[in-house]
Amino acid sequence: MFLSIIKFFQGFVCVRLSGYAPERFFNLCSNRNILIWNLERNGDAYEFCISVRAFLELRPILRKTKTRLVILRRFGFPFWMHRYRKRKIFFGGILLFLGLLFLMSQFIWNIEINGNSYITDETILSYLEERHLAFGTPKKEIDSSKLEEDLRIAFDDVIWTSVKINGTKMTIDLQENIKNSERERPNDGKAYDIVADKDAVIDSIITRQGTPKVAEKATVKKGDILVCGRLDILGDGGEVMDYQYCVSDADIMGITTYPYEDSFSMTYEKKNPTGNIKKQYAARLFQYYLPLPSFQNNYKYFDKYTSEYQIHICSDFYLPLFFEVNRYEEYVPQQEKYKENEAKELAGIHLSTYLEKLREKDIQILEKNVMIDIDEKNCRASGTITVKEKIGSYAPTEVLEVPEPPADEGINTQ
Amino acid sequence: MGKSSKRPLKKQFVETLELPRDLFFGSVIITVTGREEVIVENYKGILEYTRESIRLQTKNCKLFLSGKNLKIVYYTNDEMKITGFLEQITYEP
Repeated sequence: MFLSIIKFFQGFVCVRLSGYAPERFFNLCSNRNILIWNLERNGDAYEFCISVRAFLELRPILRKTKTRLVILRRFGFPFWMHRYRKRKIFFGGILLFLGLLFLMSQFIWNIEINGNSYITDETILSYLEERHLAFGTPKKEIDSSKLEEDLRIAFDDVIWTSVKINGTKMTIDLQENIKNSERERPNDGKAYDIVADKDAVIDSIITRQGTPKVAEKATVKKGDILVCGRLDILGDGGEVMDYQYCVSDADIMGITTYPYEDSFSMTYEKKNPTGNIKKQYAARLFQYYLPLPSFQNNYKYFDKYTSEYQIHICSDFYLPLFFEVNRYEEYVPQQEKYKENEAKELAGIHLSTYLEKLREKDIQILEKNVMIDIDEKNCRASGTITVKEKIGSYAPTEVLEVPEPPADEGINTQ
Repeated sequence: MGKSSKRPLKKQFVETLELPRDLFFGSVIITVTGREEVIVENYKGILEYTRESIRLQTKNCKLFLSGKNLKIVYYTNDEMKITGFLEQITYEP
């Protein structure tokens, strides 16, 4: 296989040899290291293939052996070039194609984002668009390490990023911080209290730094100080001598309630597919659509599904050329009404997705008290959900004047 | 005298040291695969070639191959490949 490719590019000829001493001709050829292949006896003559370069060296051998050569066929790239030498536009087309391919390969035509679960692809893509680093950006304008850093800065939850460019495809791998409920401890040298960020009943409080102001089972309102960042230094008599300030640190679990409200209409539109399907094909280059003209959509009600395929060479060389298949599925709309058990089930599904979302935020659900109310038109679910969660947020500590030392100065003078 | 005693000595030498015979005696190597393919190494030249027979000169003897539709796929200075339907291989003095 490899050998035949070389033979093709060097060019070779098939010739017919006849004359006085053909055997001597072959022996001279092998002595001079001239390769001959596909040698065949055909009547009185011999037919064989020989490379173009070797063919040009044959003249002295032919004279010596008194043989004659007739060229039967020519093969290979040099002959092919010669035959089509006048087709200037064809060669121009090849050059244009190579040029375009080279030009196209200088841009990003495909962006793959992996590892994101909270942040959607669209969010990241629109961020890239803002930075003018999206689809169609010249590759040399993208500084991978800078983009990695910028992504981490722009999205707080992203803790690790990697930007790779392979061919015309940009791959962004990222890692999200799963525990994003953790509050950040301020670190600016000032003192901070922990205050309640919602009404709650304290379930447990473990203070590491600061003065706890509430005990377990205490009911707090939003804004109440839970842990104070000010430490009182007491004298022997129990009076305040001085204050020390710190950034409070505590784990406080509170029992809170969330209101739950959900309602949906009892009637809905059911789609009965008629089974009629029409397909439309289209091509897209950048944003220019080239739909096939013979298409007519005469369905009144239909669902449209679009599948888009991007043309790529190998796995990483994407081109800005897309093929689209639009599928139209006809249906007949029908007004339907939920039955009571169906409505209850649906309300239950809504509720459990809501609870699941709470659980994802590290909130422990203690009790749910939801009533489902069904009337002619609507299904309503309402109630409260009691949960146990981490509460408290930071607020600056009020700095107080140190009280005047009492008249008795016996202790202070040392 | 010198010539007759020299030959067995070389033969003895090659046999004792188990040296490859094709290098020291220039013996022909024939690799036959089924009835369709023969590779001949260490030959000196082609004496005769038709569709039915090929006669080759080697260092020590002549080699005669006969068959049908014999074709030389390639041949270089030291190796040739013959395909076709092979009927016999004969050594001639």
